[in-house]
Amino acid sequence: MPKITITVDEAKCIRCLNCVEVCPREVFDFDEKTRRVTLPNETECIHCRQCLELCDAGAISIDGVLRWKPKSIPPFAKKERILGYYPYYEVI
Amino acid sequence: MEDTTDVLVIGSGLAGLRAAIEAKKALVDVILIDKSFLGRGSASIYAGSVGSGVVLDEPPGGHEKALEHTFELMVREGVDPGWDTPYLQNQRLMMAIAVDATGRQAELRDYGVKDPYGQEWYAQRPLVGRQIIMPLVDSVKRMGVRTFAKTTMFDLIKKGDRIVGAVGFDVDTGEFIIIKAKATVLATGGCQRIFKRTHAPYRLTGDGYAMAYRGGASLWDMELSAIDLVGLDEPNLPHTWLNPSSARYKGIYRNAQGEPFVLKYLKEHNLLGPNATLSLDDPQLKRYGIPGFFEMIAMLTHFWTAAMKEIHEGRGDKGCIYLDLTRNTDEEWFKSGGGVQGLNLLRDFDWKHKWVHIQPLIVGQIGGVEIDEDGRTSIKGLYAAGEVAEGHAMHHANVTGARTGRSAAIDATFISEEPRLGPKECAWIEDKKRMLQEILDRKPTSEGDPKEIKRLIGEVMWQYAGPLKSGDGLNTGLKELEKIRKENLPKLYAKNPLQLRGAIEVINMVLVGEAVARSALHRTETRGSFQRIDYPRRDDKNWLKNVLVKEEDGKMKVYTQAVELIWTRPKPKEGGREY
Repeated sequence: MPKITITVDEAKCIRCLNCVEVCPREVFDFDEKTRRVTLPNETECIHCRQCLELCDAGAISIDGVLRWKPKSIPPFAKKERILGYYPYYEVI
Repeated sequence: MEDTTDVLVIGSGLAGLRAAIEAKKALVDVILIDKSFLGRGSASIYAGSVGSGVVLDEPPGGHEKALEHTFELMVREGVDPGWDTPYLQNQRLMMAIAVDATGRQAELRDYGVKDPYGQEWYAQRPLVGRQIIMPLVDSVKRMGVRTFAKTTMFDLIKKGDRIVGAVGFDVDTGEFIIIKAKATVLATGGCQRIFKRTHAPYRLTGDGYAMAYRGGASLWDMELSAIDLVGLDEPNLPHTWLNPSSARYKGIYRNAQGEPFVLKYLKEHNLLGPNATLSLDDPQLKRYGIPGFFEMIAMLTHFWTAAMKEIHEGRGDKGCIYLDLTRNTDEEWFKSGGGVQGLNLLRDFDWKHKWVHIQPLIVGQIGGVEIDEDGRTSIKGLYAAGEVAEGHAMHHANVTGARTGRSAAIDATFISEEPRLGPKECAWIEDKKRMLQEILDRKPTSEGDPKEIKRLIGEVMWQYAGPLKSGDGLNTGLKELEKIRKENLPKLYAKNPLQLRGAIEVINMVLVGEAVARSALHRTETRGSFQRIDYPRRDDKNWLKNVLVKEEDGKMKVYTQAVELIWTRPKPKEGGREY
């Protein structure tokens, strides 16, 4: 399985620090001395892609994330009568 | 900056957005505030959070029957059936949610949510809530709600016995902000971040609980946390929750000796179903003879309890147990979006040949600000919705948000005069300004680093008030918190307004931590996902009660209140088996 890597293109980065602000797992940090966005917790990334969405400069890229595309609407949506909490439908 | 409005909504997760929309629909002036970007820091953007109590299609036996069934499940297992708090929920509130949920969910279409039932965004976890939250953010702006992002509100203004607004500051500029409001809705989310191990977003530090507490509202059953077993704990993997997927449910939990201990535990406690195959090749449903989906989810509590006991009794490996996924194939993971998500979290870990270290983690806060079924708290002018409110709110944000926004707007229209501040309130505000300035003026020290104190609180809370609790542990935890309050908080510093937000969060976390520990100490029984080692039995005779905390004369007062068993009550066990 792939290893997930995050890269911040320093040439493109405008230091708006939106990535530091939005990341739910503190993957990014800002080093005030070197004025660079650093990645102290890169392994914590859950690839929610919020940083990509908020990076106005398009400086961030995340590689190695697998995507899943359902071919059709999952059948549970019709079959099940009571939908309590959708993620668990995979269990059945 | 000073501003006046009818309804002030603090927090912009699903609950806050929904409350703002409903209030605006009642044609009142609404301000929506978030301490980070609108919608982005909330748990709902990661979890979706609309599922609870929703009835789809025309069920067998008619709609009424389904409603009854849904309600029964919610009361028995908690709002979200995952983490049970049997019979502790406010039944009026649960009934309101059960009745309202389906319609409220369908309404989301009006605000640009393409598919409120989630079939389309099913595949895109972990950001499943995006397809709900982002259209709602657009709707809120389009409807003319005044929004302030990156603005931290940290205290409620109290005039007499009424809340008349809140004070805060701009995170970028540091400008002090006073907002006077006829009705204030708290929708600030949970407090999972006071625990070290959680998958919740970074900003869920329980600010709403602390604000409500300081404003005089009572906090309901703060000791109840939702816990799940499968929190990854490998050095090169994110320390987060491995999503439920068919592959995960094929996994086997093992202790350091490699024994599948869950089986032993279930046998000892007479929890195995009649059709249990006991074969480790089968998925957990078949293996333990669990009849269906809801029962499976109620079983999660037993799984993590068994695991915690293994760790507690020294059969864990570095405080962890193992999840054996080696019997899975690649196809199993690719069956669903959740599976692929799980595979992404496992990265280059060789799960085909190695066992994964896992440890339980806190996934949600069940307790919260005490509300009635329309979101009104015990204090006039203050409302709460979503996770900050009582009940396992993680998945009823949509319903309580809508109900609360509406009742807040209606109440606001009945108040004719604009909220005004007297000299006493102005003096109080000056006091608050001074407090912020003091934190900004302090010199940086290692004891006063907000990040460091946050880490410390997380450690203390996890160790002493985490999944398995005991009287001694909780007392030690309270002492440790007191130590942090006495030694670290006076030295708390902030170099800039951005860090000031962190400092405010720290102050709130200490308070909320204390509320959690004190409530847990008070509840002397084991019930569902609340586990006390020193009181291992469920006690329906004495503890069909909620534990509430409230500020009285500057001290935290803990008291109990019997649960109103209006619609349903505990039933005798059938065949000695109870989920």
